[in-house]
Amino acid sequence: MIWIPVVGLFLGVLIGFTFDLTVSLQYSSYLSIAILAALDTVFGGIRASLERHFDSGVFISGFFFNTLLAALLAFIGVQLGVDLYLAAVFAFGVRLFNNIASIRRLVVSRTRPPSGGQAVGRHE
Amino acid sequence: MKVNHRVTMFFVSVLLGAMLTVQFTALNRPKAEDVEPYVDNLQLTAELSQERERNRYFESDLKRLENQIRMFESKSDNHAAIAKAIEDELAKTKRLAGTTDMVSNGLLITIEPPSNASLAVGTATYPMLLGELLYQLCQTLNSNGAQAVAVENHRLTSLSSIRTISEVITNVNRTAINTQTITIKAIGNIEQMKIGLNTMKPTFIEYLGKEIKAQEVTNGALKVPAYDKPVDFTYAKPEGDKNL
Repeated sequence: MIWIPVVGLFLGVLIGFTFDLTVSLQYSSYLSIAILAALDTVFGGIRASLERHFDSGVFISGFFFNTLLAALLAFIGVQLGVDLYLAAVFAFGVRLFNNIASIRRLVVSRTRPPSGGQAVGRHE
Repeated sequence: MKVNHRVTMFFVSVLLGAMLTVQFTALNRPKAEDVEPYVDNLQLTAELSQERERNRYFESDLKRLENQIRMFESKSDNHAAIAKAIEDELAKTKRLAGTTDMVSNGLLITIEPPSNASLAVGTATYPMLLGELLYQLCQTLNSNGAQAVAVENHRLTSLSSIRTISEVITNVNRTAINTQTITIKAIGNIEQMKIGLNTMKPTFIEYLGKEIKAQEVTNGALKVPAYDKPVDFTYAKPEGDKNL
């Protein structure tokens, strides 16, 4: 089911280019943090679906909540003069790498045939 | 994975894709767009080309004037030769300005009600368009090899005007002309002028109910009179050294 997010991403990119949506440069830093959070959520969702405990409610709420929270954190950081966005970058960055690593492990373990069974089968 | 899970994942992915594109577009668009009004490159290219053309024209004009100065300098010991050269130059300038009579081959054009009555039957006419169409016709002749044009013996120059006053009055060079039958004399490349003329014939029939007839004059006897109105510049001044 890995093709669903790939197709969705492609369609989203197509929509973005077709409607020529732009955001002012002063808000692009918030959007970049929000994208990081969204990426984390999507990879988390892929991992959950591979582990067969995917929940739509958690996924959707996580996507919007994380995205908005990250952007809000960056905004507050700018207002306070503290680079709070670094906290979001660090947190989501680590989670992103963890999720990708888990997905990799799951995919590899699924593609690898069970060694014992094959050997028995061959001998049979 | 359940269907609604797939839909959720798909929806979120679409959203993420759109966000990525927006961010990409925001960071990669030209920075000049944010700080100053957008300037069309095509417009700049066209203006540059126009300036180059103007530069070429000035250079050729400068060369011509330098040649003229050299010619005068070479004849500086002979006053009669200088006077003759100046006289020739003046005559040439007058000829180009349209203030001298011109006699040569050309077309004698008449605009009149059609000889074949069936052409005019049922055709609504717009006499107020006469001035505009006459102007278009003269422009067509000029762009098709005419070197001197006169409407009803009123020479057309850069100071000329063709103006519709009312349905029955049309002025050429500020003088009313007979709008029933109009005669135009045009000196220049006869074949090329006829080609231009043919493009205007249907328009005159359609809007004015008038026919354009052209007679070739090839014996060199077609006379286009000089511009007869006084040439006096009240406001315009020649471009002097100070302005350059």
